[in-house]
Amino acid sequence: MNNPVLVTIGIPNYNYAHYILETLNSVTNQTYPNIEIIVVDDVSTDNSVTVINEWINNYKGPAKIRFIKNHTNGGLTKVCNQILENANGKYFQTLDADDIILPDKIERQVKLLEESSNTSLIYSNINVINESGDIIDDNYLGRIHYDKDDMPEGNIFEKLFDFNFIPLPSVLINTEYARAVGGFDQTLQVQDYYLWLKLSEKYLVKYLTGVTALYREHSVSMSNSSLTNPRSADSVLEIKYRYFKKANGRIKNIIRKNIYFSSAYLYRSNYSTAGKWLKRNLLINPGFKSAVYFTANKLGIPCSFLDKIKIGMKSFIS
Amino acid sequence: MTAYNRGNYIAESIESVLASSYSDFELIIMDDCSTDNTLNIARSYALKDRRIKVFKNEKNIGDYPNRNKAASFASGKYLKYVDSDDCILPDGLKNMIESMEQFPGAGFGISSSFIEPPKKYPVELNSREAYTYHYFNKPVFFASPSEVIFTKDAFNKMKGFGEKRMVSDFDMWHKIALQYSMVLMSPGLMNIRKHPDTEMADQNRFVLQYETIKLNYLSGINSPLDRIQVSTIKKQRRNTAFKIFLKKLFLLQFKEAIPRLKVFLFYLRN
Repeated sequence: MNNPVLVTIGIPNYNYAHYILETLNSVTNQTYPNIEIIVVDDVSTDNSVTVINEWINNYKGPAKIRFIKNHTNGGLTKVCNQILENANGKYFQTLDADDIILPDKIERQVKLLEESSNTSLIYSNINVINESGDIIDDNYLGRIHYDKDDMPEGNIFEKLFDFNFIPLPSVLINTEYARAVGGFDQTLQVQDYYLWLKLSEKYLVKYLTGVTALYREHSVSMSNSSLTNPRSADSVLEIKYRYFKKANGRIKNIIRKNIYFSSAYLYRSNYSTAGKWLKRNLLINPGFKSAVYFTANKLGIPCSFLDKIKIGMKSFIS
Repeated sequence: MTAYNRGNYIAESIESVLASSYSDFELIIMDDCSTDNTLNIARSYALKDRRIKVFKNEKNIGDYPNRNKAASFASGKYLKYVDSDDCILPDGLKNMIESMEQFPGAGFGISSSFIEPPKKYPVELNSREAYTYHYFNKPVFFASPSEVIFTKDAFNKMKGFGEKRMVSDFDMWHKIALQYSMVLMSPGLMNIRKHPDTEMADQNRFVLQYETIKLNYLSGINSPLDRIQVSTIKKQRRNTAFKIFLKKLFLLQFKEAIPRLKVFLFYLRN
């Protein structure tokens, strides 16, 4: 390859001193020759900074390394935007400080991106690894009912709008295009999904078959995950709702359906934003059930009570 | 976990499985072509837990065929259905596995919803004991697939469920109890949800199908009960049906009276 374009790999770090060296080494082990690494430490309380500094001092390779130490903790999205602001590469990716990219990822993805025009993003399949680095899932896309050899590419906005199937560690993004659509949105919980949607709305997306990155799973405690799902349902709803006004008919219908079912789910889960979504649902999906749910929620009646009434009525009629 | 348009409930069901104290499981979610957001809810859980696999049928194939299809992807020693609107208690799976491991020859176990006086569970029942228990003690064969656990071997030997709507589970318990012993497990390990979207079967339509199944197994060549027991059961069914028929008639509940009459006539004919 003559004159390989610069690629930026940004690594947000928060208290991953015990993983980050493996991550850094996976970047310096890339077969691609022109890489810039930006590590951003978000005020870690472990010895991350020491560990990273020592690694940088010992590094003798060709990659350009930059180390940004934040003074106040900004959070992941803010750090991702820092990386985007500071990236000099034509392409960039954010890599979690406990994930790993495989040696030929950047080379293969840059090759495809350079051959394509108007393409903002390329993604691939991933494997999941545990804390010790053993592969515990080699069928990530298959498990969520996608065909790893036939993933959506090109104009994928509608398919992506239905469900986020893009594995974050596998991604490589056109820096200029990401800036053009406004980068990562700091008001959202699920910030990468919104960026993918903004990009796929205006540009094309490519899929590279095969595994290019390893995602490290952490055991999720049950108390967390039961709140997580209504929370992420609420986030995803927020993202989709932003498209409602200017969406075409098909997308509008997807949003309507999503809001119809998700508002009921949030109501059922007693989630704090249920009221907001039930109101929006009533405006977007006017009808008997929407009105009943909205009114009942306003009056403080729990969803389970409505179910009991419905069961009672059904047995009365029959 | 088979699912058809259970977007309202499936999240809770999935979470109940993930909350199990016994963690060595795979959760296979078979979406039978739902038109709501069931599939995407299942997917969002699969993203976070690699024990979950999500499948969706190209077209709707129906409840029992879908259960059989789900079983074909299962690789465990035991097979347990948790319906997409039911919940399993956190220690439910552990309790069921331990119960089944105690009796290696058994083919299936039932955790019924009938509240029994404190008894020592689990208990193994052979064919005769299982049938006697259902017909003369507590009707455990009315358990839904959600209240049952199979050994994969036994399930495969039975070639899965029959295709008939509603009644194929009732039929399955009779069939499998003929060949394998049954484990009566602690009751109440499952939380069966009663909700307005249940296939609240017009039970009346299926009444005769249930009675026909009973008769097939009770009077068949392999029946584990003797002739006296069988004729006692038939007489009991006939008399109960008639009594309830009169009662419903008296209460002017004609719609409910008619199936009772049908059952009564059935046991006159047979």
